[in-house]
Amino acid sequence: MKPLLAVRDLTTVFSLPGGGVARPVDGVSLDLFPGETLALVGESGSGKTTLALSLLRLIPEPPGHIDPASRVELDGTDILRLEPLALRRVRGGAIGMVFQEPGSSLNPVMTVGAQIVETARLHAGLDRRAARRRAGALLADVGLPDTERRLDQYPHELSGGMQQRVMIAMALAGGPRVLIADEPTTALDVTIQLQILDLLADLKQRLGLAVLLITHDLGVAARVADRVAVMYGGRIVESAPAARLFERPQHPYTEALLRAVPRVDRTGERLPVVRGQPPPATDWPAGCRFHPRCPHAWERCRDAEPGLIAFGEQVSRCWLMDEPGRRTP
Amino acid sequence: MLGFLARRLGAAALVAFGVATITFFLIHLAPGSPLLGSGENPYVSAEAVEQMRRNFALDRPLHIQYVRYLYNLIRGDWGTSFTLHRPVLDAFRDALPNTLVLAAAALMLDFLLGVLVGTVQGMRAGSRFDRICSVVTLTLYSIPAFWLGLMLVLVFGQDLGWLPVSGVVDPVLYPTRSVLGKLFDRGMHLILPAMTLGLIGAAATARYQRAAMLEVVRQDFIRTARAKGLSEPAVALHALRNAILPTITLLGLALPMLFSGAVLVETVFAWPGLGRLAFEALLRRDYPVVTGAATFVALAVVAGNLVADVLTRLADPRTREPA
Amino acid sequence: MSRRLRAGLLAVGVLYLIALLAPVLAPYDPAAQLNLAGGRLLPPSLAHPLGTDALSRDLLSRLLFGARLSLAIAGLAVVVAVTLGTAVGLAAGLAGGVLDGILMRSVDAALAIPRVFLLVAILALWEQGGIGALVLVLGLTGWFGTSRLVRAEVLSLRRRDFVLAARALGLPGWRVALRHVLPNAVAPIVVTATLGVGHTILIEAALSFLGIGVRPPLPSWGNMIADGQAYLATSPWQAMAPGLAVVATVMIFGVLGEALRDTMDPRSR
Repeated sequence: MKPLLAVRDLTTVFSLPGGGVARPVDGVSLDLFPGETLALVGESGSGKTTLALSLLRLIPEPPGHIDPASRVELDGTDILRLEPLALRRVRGGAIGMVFQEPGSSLNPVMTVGAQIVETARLHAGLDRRAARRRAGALLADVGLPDTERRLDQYPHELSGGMQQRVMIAMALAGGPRVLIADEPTTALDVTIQLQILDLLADLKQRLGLAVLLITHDLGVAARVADRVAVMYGGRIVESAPAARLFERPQHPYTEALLRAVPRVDRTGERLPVVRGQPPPATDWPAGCRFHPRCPHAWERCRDAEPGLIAFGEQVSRCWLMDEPGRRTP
Repeated sequence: MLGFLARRLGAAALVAFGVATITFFLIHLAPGSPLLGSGENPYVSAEAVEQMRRNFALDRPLHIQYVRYLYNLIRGDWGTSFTLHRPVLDAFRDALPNTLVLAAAALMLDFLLGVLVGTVQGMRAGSRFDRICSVVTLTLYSIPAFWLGLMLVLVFGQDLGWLPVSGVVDPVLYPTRSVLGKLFDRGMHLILPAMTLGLIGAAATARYQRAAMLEVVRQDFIRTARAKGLSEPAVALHALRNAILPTITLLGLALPMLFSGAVLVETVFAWPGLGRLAFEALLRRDYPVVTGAATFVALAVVAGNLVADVLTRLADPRTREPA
Repeated sequence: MSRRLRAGLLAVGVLYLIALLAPVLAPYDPAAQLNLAGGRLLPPSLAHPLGTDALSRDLLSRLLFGARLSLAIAGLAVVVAVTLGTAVGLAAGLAGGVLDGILMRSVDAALAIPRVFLLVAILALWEQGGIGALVLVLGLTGWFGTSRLVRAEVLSLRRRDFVLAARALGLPGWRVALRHVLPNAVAPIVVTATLGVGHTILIEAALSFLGIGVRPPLPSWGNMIADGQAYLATSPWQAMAPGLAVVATVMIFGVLGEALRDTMDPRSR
């Protein structure tokens, strides 16, 4: 099956005021297939949001800049090469996006209905009444009944969870095939988080969407993902079907992340931490970018950066895939 | 909304009452006031002093005078001008429309031009357009209004002879014109004074609006608007609907400010408005007119604040009481 | 130091230097009526770079002395206003409670009244005032905004640890105010003061134009423009030169104020 969204060698560069250059996204490639949820996992500051924004070319042009060698292909068409008019049709039309802070991501002086209607009219070409009906239907779909009243409410009159539902409705108003959700639940209460995640899974199922879910929370990934990709050092370091990744992680970084998750059944222990700090995007280490913090590292790791080495459906950017004997217990 | 209005109108009445009271006591206690009977005031003739004594019932105790004064105010008797020999309210009735017309025209120019330029500057911050506009607005903002008026008179009135430079209408030709001609005449006379006040106001508004836009454009919902596929003008509209809020407040407060600017501009252009009236009365110690003008300005201030409040409530849903 | 800041500081320095040296720089006595017979309303020439006025006084000299007066008045008035505003703002912010409430309500009421109107009213009635009265009244009507600003700064600084520490050590209120809070609030005060000088010059020019600010025969840019108004047709430079001086001066203070704001408060970028 061909991927719906194919990202190849995506590199986004920022020029810094002091003069330096940062590459928070440095050669990322991934595939998104219809009907699946791909979770992109990484620490805060690992470039995940930059990646998401780059897909729709929402990076501010100075100081940011997407490397021309990058390719982001939606059903064969490279988004990065589109003319502004065609790009605007993709945004909100073919690809919908949901952001982290629903409270500040909605226009405070427009009603919720008006904002959804705006998207519907723009991408589905509906007249005002039809668009309002569609908006009402979408609100019902995302679990906000009493739609007539809701449509005329303002964002500040809604709770965080409800605001996020509105954002999702708005993202779906244009009938997209891909939904990018950037940390959609991070700003919400835990109980609401689960509701929103279940909603996303349900919508994906019903509408046949391809969902790219960006999160730093492994628990979130475990709950909804079909496949998981782990990001570190501006690159993808491991990618596998969800169950596989959680049972048998291959990359030392993934292992460390999983070990650091607190467990209810093992209290009183010190949480194992990954020693060291993530490297700055201005100065990626030579060779394997994780090697300064990796317990298994040897000379090869310092000298050369591994490519993505496959093992069945799992890929890992680690020399241990080549030389499993080097893995220290 | 109705309850809110009622409360505010009540507060406004209280303020007006307060101003009238303060004015009354100032008049009666300020040094150099003819009412204190210290004689020798070169501006005020003996008969005028007598008239004032009678009007203000100076032979009666102070509290009776106060009540009398308030009663007169409400009845519409704001006293009689010494120098113009007419009731104060009459003089105001003639002068006020002129000032209002000038203020309205200036305000329109101010708001429309200022918001437009400020918004475009905000959306295109850092561009050449932005930098040029910033220099222009800084310059305009540094020009004294009365001097700008004079320079406009010099260029447009004298050198080019395009526009009339004084008065509201042409004293000779106006009565002979048709209705349309009269309107045209009034319009032509309005251009220079309105431009003087309006351009400087627009410069200030543009700077303010630009700053407001910069604040708004940084925010998340602008990113959302772009992610939805909206065109740049549509995104600008989203931003504008938020950025305009502080400017609207400014607008309400501009009303009293325009009266001050009016004093200067009316002097330069011989515009028979309230500002000029009040100022000349001040110089000639025409107290009834002065106190009337003070009361009036206070009312304008309160009205301005009220308007700003109401407009803000209408424009910003977050300030409204929950439905 | 940014280029704008450097340029602004230099320009202001030059302005005040010119003002200071006016007696030396001026070719003539600004009050001297040089040649009532044939020297009135002369156009600019080598002898009189800006010409002469209706009383055959040299305009360049008057302009220079006008600069002296206007800059001095504005400077002093701003000092008065800033001092007063800072004091009130500190008091209100640190004391809190009823005092704060009363002070701020009064400030709000005062801010609502158009300043120019108040100034016109007071100065038109107070004829014998002179320059001192002018400075005083300008200062007394100009402190309200500063007090609000300082109070806001104080309120935000109050909660910071170093203030709590000072108070816990038992330092008296005024000491905490002066030595701990104030130094941190300096930045917005300096910006406001600088922009304030520009505003004050504009207001003083307006008042002098109306005849109630700097009164003749003392030269001020404002009253020079008023003088020039009558001869606009024949000798336009009379009104133009002082006006340009005002514009240039106010712009310089404006640029300096903004450069200071950008430097001291990177948040506002």
